[in-house]
Amino acid sequence: MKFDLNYTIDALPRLLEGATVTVQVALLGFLFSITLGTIIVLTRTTLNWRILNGIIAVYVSFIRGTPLMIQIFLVYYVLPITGLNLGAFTSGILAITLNSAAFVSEILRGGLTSVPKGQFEAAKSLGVSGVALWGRVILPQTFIASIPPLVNEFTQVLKATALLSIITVVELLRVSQQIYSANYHPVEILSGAFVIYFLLCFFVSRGSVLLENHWRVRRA
Amino acid sequence: MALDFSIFVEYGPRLLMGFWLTIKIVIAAIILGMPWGLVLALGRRSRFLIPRLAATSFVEIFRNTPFIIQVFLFFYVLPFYGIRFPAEYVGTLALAAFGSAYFAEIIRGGIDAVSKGQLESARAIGMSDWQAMKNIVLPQTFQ
Repeated sequence: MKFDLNYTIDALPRLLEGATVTVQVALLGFLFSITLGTIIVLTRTTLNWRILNGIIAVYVSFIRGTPLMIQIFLVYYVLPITGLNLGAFTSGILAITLNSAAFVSEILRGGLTSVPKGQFEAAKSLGVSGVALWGRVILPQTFIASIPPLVNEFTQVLKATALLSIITVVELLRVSQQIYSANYHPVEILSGAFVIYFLLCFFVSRGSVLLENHWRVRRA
Repeated sequence: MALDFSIFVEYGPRLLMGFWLTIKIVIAAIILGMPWGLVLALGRRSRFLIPRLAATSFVEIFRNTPFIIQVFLFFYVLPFYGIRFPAEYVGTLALAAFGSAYFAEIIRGGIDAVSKGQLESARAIGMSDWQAMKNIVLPQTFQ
């Protein structure tokens, strides 16, 4: 058998369609996980309740200590038992969000420690407190300090969306499986999907530098 | 629907069998992937363009694509070129290749963490590049 690029080219429009779903899922999941991760960090630092901290610690170690595939299965198959019947797309995004939020919260926690203590003190002595303190002084610096690991986490999320194909989310990998189960040319089709994934992740990870530079200028 | 945990009594042994296979695959993948990761890490620091380019592309390709599609590709590409392995071996190979890219980055980080003076002093007392790497830098890296 010979590698026939024509199959890849024929499949390209559908693969790109799948890629848009991949990007969509990744963006939505990452957006939610940043929100959730920020909330987690804020409750940890401002409320600092012992019980809540314990729950968060258990949650983070559960997410980091189990395979993402199991977590996706749990959300997709176990939640319906409790009566919460989400579709594949929604449960996929939920699983990605819950997974990524744990990592994002750890990243932001690290970023928060890089904000000098003097920033808190200076803001407070100027009478800035509460929402303004966090929203305008501390969190912006936390996010800027966390850009490289956050971009890295986004590429992790992009790659993780491929796992959603097993719960029938029709993203890039699922589309390629549909195509090659019809034409029996898995190598050509999967190679195409492989290249698309690579280009997506590669350029996103290179984009980190652009973001860093952009914000560094704004900050000066 | 109620949760019925009694199925663990019936299927527990099979789950444990699966777990044992998991452990075997992990160990085999580490044994295969670690040395290859070391080769990649050294390749990325090479003075010569071709090994550097090859190692860098390998690492970037495996780090920037989902693992599951790598597994699928290994599973379909190897028979495509007439190499037939049982699924467990293909999976181990894929995991080793994937892991080696990450090992390479860890080892490279370790090498960079060893202060530059160590390599320079080793070169100054007449060791070759390879001797300095093998006897001075790498032992400190793996510490």
